[in-house]
Amino acid sequence: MGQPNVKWGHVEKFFLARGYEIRHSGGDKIIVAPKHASPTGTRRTVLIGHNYSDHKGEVLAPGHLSAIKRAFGVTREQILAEG
Amino acid sequence: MKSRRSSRGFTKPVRNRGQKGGGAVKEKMSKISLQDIAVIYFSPADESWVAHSVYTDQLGLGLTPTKALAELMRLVDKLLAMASTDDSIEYLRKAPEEVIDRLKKCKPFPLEWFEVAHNIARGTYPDGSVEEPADALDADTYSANLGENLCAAA
Repeated sequence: MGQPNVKWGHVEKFFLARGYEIRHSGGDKIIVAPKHASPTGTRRTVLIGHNYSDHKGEVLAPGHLSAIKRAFGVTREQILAEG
Repeated sequence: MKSRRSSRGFTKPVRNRGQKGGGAVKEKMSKISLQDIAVIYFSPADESWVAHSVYTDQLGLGLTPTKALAELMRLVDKLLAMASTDDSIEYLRKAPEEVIDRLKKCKPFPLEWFEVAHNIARGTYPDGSVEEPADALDADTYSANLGENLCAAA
């Protein structure tokens, strides 16, 4: 049995609950870390292009989940546990 | 192009704030300049082509290499536009080593496909047009140099 899919809704809910900023821009999604997430106050940012919706039902591609993990240290399991 | 050479030989991006009172010129000059490299490869896990920015660690996905590159162009342009108006946006992040390693065995992305990707990113490519014939693919990894303001209107 494969891993459960992570949909955009899971990601949005998880990050909004933690003070991240979610922006929508022409179908693209932008996740911006809160200032307190880094000691220097800079905010890491991940952009998810609208081509992700080519995947069935707004399921995020593994590449996007890897990018989120590299940028924010958040795993798919953490995101799914929230949802 | 505003840039400077680092001790390691890379060209580092710099913020170009322009001059006071420049109007439209000031607006254009406030963009951040970035000479980036895209690594374009087919990812079986994603069931898509992936275009990965070496210096920002952003990625674009697409069913063809040109669509993936077009998405990356658009996203990096948006990221730089955000960073030019908000100093807190961290836009530089190195891609993972496995992506850097792909640079060693990739082919240059064909210029004609690059131009198509550019037009798709700018929204000036007709819907339904064919970007590249599938049988024209002669490699599974390509690279392309990305300049500044890729999506800016001509």
